[in-house]
Amino acid sequence: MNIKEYGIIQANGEIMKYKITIFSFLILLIFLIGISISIGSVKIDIIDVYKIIIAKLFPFLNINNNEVLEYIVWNLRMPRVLGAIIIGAILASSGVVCQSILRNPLASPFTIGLSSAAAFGASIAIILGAGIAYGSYTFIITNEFFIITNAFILCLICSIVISIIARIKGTNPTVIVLTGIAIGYFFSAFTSILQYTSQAEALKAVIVWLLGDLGLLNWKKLIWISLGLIGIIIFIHMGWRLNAFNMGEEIASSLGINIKKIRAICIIVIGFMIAVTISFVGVIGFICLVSPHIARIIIGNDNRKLIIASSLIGSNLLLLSDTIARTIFSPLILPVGAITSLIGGPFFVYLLIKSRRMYWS
Amino acid sequence: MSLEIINLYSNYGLKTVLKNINLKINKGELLAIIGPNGAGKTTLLKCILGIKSYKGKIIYEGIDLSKISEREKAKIISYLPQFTPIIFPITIFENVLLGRLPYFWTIPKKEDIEFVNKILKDLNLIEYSNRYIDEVSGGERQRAYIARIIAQNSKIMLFDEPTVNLDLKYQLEIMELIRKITKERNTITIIAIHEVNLAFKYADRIVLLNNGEIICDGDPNEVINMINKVYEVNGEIIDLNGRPRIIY
Repeated sequence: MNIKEYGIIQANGEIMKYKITIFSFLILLIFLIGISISIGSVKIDIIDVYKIIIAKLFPFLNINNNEVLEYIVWNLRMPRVLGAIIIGAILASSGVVCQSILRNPLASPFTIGLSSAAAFGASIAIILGAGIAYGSYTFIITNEFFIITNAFILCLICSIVISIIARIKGTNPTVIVLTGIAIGYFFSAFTSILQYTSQAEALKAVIVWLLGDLGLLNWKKLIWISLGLIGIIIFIHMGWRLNAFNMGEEIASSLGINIKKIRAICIIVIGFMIAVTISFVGVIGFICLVSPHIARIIIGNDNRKLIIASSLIGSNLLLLSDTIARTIFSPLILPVGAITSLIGGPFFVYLLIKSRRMYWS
Repeated sequence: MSLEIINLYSNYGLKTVLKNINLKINKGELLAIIGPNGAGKTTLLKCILGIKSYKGKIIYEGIDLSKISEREKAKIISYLPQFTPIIFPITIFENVLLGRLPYFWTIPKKEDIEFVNKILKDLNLIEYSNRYIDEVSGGERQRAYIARIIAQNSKIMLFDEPTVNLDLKYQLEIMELIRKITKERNTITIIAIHEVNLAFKYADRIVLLNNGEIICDGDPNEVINMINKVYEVNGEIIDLNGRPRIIY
């Protein structure tokens, strides 16, 4: 056997495992899309769901469908399902990168304060009825636009502050994590004060927002949220560099990586990804933490593969959670953030117990 | 073709850890830096790599190493740190491929893969190449790390305590390997090492540091006479095939 053949054979096992994982989660996702869209106040046959989707994606096939069903599937249910897929992927991949650059298994965009900042922004808009984007509290306008822009801007500001600290204290990830946690508490304190002093209706609106809800998604919003996918592309491009990061700062430096710069860039990109998602759908946090770890247990630590696998797992997890959230006690719709933790938590613990390898030691 | 260190000073806070270091190291030369704990051996390597701030100049072939980008520097200098604080569980193949990182951005080129496979074969690591790096013995792991340094194909190689935590067999094997690649690839190789006899056995030239200053710089026979004084011990110097050793 020559060296080339050996190289191919030795790599095959890992590549096959990765391909099988990706393929399995893709199949599961396609299946979940069908199930999720078919369930609702109007029951739709799962075959019809796929037929409508195919007809929409490939209009030249001239597949005829019932127009009412087509409207329900494409205009009412599809944005929510697609939103769950996109948001799940964005949150999960940002979690992978956050854990890698901060070399901390507990790090996630949510533990470094981004969600608290966004929550504070949304709370200002909901409770005070003002948008900082609008520049003045004298305009008492409470609408969705202000909630979204406030959450987005605060989240982005938070990520910029953390990235500046990362640029200054670049070689110490613990300082960055602790700073993020402190910033998180800082914003949470403001949110608590706002909640404490707010009226009952506004308080409920804030709490509902904090629990996360995919129900308000539409095609227009999806276009904005999709911008977060750019972050995933950037991170896939950086996969090898992130691997070097995990070898430790000294090795990464010796391999030509500007630690401070890459870390600061990643935090800004993560900030954008989180801002563009949670400002539209509220705080859905657990996916960021759990999807990367589930992917690690299944396919290992290679960031190149991890970003893609984790994104798929995040998509599946959020779509499954949302489907359960809106069907289990139908017509009552439970908060998707809570369901995500309810499903993801035990599954994660199961994998941790079953897992042979330790990924963070 | 040499690496020049000119009037180098470095400090941690108020404590000066390197004072007026002047060195010129030629291609194909294996230089061992020895000295008691806290002498400044690791700091010197970190200064050369550029991850520790310093005053003075470090010049390679007329290029001031503090003036070039990390990526360009990585093509010139490779570094194996003393401790690998976290053993990041990737496969040995992936670990070695990381050495090619200064040469590609997103996807390694075909030449990179072939180069890595050749190194793995040369170092008898090919059968381990799909094993996770935290699953192999300390000696194999160190060889895999050295394979990554070779993959980087740099002109200057820095090793910080490459034999630490290894048994005698692996200590000798690793030092043999470092000497072999230095001569074959005609690199400038600098090793910071505690085990003085390994330095005397394998190095072409030895720099003895103490309290951040160069006490002695020369071939092993010149330096060995200073060992007892600097380390405050009373060892007996013997000659083994023309190279000195010290017995305690």
